[in-house]
Amino acid sequence: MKSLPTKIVSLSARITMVGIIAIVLFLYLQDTQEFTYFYREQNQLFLWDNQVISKTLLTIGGLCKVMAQVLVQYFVLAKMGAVITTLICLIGAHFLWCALKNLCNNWFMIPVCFLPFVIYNVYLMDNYAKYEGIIALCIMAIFFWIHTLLNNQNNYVRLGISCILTLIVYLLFGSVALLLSFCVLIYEFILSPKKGLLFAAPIILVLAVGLIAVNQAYLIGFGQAYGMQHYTEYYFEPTGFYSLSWIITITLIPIFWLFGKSKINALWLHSALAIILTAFLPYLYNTLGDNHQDKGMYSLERIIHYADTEQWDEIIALGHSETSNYINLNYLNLALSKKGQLLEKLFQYEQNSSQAVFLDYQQFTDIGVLRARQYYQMGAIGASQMNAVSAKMSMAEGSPSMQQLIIKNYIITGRYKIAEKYIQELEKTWYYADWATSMRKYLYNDKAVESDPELGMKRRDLPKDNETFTIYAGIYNDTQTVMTANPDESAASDYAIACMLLDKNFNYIIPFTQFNYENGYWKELPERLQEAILTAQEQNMDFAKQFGISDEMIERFAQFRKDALNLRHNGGAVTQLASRWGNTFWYYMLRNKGK
Amino acid sequence: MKKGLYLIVLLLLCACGEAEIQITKTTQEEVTIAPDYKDVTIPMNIAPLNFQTDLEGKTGLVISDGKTSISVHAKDGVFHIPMQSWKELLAQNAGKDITFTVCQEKNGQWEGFKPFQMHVAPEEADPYLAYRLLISCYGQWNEMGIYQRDISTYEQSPIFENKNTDHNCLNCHTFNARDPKTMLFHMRAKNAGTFMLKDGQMEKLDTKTDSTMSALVYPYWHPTGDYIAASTNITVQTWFFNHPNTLEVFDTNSDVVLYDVNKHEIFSNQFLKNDSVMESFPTFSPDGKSLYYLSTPMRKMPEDFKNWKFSLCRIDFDPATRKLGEKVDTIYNANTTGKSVSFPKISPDGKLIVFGLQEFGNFSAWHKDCDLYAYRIADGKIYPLTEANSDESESYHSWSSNNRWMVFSSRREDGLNTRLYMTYIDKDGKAHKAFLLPQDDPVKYYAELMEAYNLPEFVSGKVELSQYEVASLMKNTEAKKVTYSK
Repeated sequence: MKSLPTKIVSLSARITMVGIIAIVLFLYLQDTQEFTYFYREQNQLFLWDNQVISKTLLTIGGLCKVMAQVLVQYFVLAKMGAVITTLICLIGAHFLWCALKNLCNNWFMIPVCFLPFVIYNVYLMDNYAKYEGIIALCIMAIFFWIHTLLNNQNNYVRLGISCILTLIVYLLFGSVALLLSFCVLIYEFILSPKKGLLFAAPIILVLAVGLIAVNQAYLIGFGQAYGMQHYTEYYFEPTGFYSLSWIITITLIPIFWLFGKSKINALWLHSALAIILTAFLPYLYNTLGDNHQDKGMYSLERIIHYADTEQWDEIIALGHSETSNYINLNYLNLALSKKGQLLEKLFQYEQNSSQAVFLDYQQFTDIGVLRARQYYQMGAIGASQMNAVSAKMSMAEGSPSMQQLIIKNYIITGRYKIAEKYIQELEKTWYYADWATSMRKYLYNDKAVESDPELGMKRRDLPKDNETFTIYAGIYNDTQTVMTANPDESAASDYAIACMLLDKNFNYIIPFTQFNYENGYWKELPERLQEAILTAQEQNMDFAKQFGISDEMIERFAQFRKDALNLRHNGGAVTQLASRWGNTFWYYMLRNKGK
Repeated sequence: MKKGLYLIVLLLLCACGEAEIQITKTTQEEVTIAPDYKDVTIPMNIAPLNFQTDLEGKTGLVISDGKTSISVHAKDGVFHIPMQSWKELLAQNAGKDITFTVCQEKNGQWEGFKPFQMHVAPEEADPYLAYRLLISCYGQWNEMGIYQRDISTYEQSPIFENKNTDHNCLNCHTFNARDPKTMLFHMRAKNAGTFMLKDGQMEKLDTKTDSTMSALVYPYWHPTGDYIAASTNITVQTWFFNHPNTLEVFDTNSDVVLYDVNKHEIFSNQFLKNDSVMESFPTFSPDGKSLYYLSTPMRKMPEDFKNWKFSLCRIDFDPATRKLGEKVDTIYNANTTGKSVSFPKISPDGKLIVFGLQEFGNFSAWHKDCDLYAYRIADGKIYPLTEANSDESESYHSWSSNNRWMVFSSRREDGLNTRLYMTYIDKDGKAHKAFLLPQDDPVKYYAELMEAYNLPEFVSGKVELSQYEVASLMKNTEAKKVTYSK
């Protein structure tokens, strides 16, 4: 019998330890998965609709999916992803401890119960892993604990209840029921090796139900019926690593039993073990996470979050550090365009082709989302809509930001009935309902649309001749169509010019400029374009002057040539010109000569 | 004890049945109902055509044939007509009208609005409809499936869903004369191939040959089940900046070929596989001796899209010898009429060909102006199916076994999402006012349904396919390679 002070010390030690684990876990999750949580939220559109929810509930693992979707919708709020996930881990680990303390009630073992959840959080760094998985694991721990409460019942009652529990878990939470049934078997076997084998029945039950589910096409294949594939995207084959969390959960049972048998009673030893095991958790998360996390993807998730929330300055601020791939660069240039700085800062970043500004189409959802935004920005609404709908469709559970764009595009093109349909759907969400309702004022109200600064501008971008195709003939054609319809849409011309300049495409630069200048679509040429015209016509300054290029600009060009020539004579590197001329087309030409 | 039992029985009766409505006064005021089922002609085996009004307060509905009546009390504005009573009423009134009176309770009395009728046709429609459901296709997709619907209930069940085969594209499901045991559909992208079911036997086919430009695309079964006519196409879709049609689906090249089901051979002739002509959408006559198809001179697409107009042509076919005719008849000439034909379908009695007519192109779902027209083979008369058409696109359609019903897809609801409508075609070949495929709560159902219906086909019974077996076949079996016979 422990004395009261000992109990108090023990309790406070436990609370402190669990508190430390929770805080550290939260900090780690927030640090490493903040933008993954936002990304998850953007990959679903959870509707508070009885029919939709009951349809999901009627699928195997449906409750788990609904619970995940309900929780993930709150990830839109800062830090909520990490908070909710930490809580799930705490609950799960707590019930696992409650179940396993029957075998070893030494409090230093508490951190061990976090192991399966910590490992599961490593999986969640990857978007292929669905959030349902960690909820399922937590539920499994609760049901396992319920099973251990039946210790006083006779074997057959326990077996019967255990079969029912397993079946309930299977139907409501999916294949994690197999893990539960294995835990029950091992637990019972340890308690009574003779009768424990009876408890293989829940395993057989899960296997049988899974077989029927696959045969009746309720589940797709045995990976989904019995394994982690239930909690990963259909196009992803989980590797062995994805089973580690479950294997560790099962392994904990004999480990607890073995420690329960040992004679470790010294408080100092308990404390030391508790500290070591607690410290091991972040070490494990870090080590596994470092190998597992796709850093490039995480960086993109960060950028996508800023784009979703229109934090364009944040994307620009990331600038130099995030130009490692074309999608990131495309977002950077989109952000610059949103701020009206696309041409001004075009040459401030490491980019050497139009792919950095406008990536070729590829059938990836993230690229579809990007292009929907780019086309919207440049005023090609038909193309934006095609990409937005395609991107939304390719995300099985929907996308709030694409749904918002789809609504705006339908309003811009005056297709109010369909816009209303999408508004109605978005009104069933928790976070976006107000925004959706606010768009109702534009329905069947052309005046309201035309007088709105954003929607009105985009409506003016629509060509008068509605037989023009978009996308098909390329970006120059699309931007020209927009400029012709609405010369005030500077984003269209900026995009076209940016692409031409980065590609050093003089075949387009001159005729494109001539056409737009002579037709009055451009009143004044942007400086970067003036630099390109001078480069193209360096022997014929009069030609350049017809576009209103100033003498001052011509003098600057002469100065640049002089500097470049001096440098060459002195054997210097081109990069030495960067400080004065780095942001000019001339320097870009020189630096990318021959590329 | 006994009193308690009576009370329970009474409560149960109250819960199950609806109190009878006695209309004390009827006005000539019209009531608007949604969907618009007023004066439609319906088959005897259709599920109750539930509808709703925007009336406030207590509203009721009395459906009567003069002898029997059904009382329905609106729930949240919707009249859910009891299934059994409806079936009995329709069975007793084949070839007659039934009257619907919507009424409203005022001061404890039921006041009726101007009654309207539905006409119960003496002919039933085939019991099942098969169709594809997907979000109106913009290039990418995720989930789609081919489903079947028992038209006498609201029950929909999957024939095959693409989640079983890695979310690939499923398309062009086709039955041989509405037979649920003989069908095919294609899979594109992952696990590509044609799934064929003939007399219950399943097969996976690779129908691309060195002599054809693509695998088989738009198929049509020969009535013997021994052949399938199909087009081979290089299809592209492009989007408009801002056109009511949204996008244009076109081919850069196409041919028509025939597939010999037993020999696994494809064959054609110089008319159907002509390099200077694009041929597409073949369909056999019910006697199997004529092959109808669409044809247009080769054009530069999409630049010349407004001149891409299809004529309807016919060529002889001898199923015994596999021989195709040596001359082509032009049934409908797009050059002279200026309109383009899409989806020709011949009635099972061989008297009418119904097709879509539009300004240009052949993919009518994306053509707002497309309407259904009938061509009477006996005298060559062409006329619109006015009662079935609307301001929005009417496109893919199919005939019932008894020639009296046609199901077709229409975008009249919102200009984007196709919904299924059924129309009665009378003995004179005239279409009657079409009605929207009924649902338990139709306005809510269709308002919330983001998917569009695609390729509706009548089927004479339930398709009994194991999705697991189909998926196993398509995922794990090498496709039988089809050859081209010159």
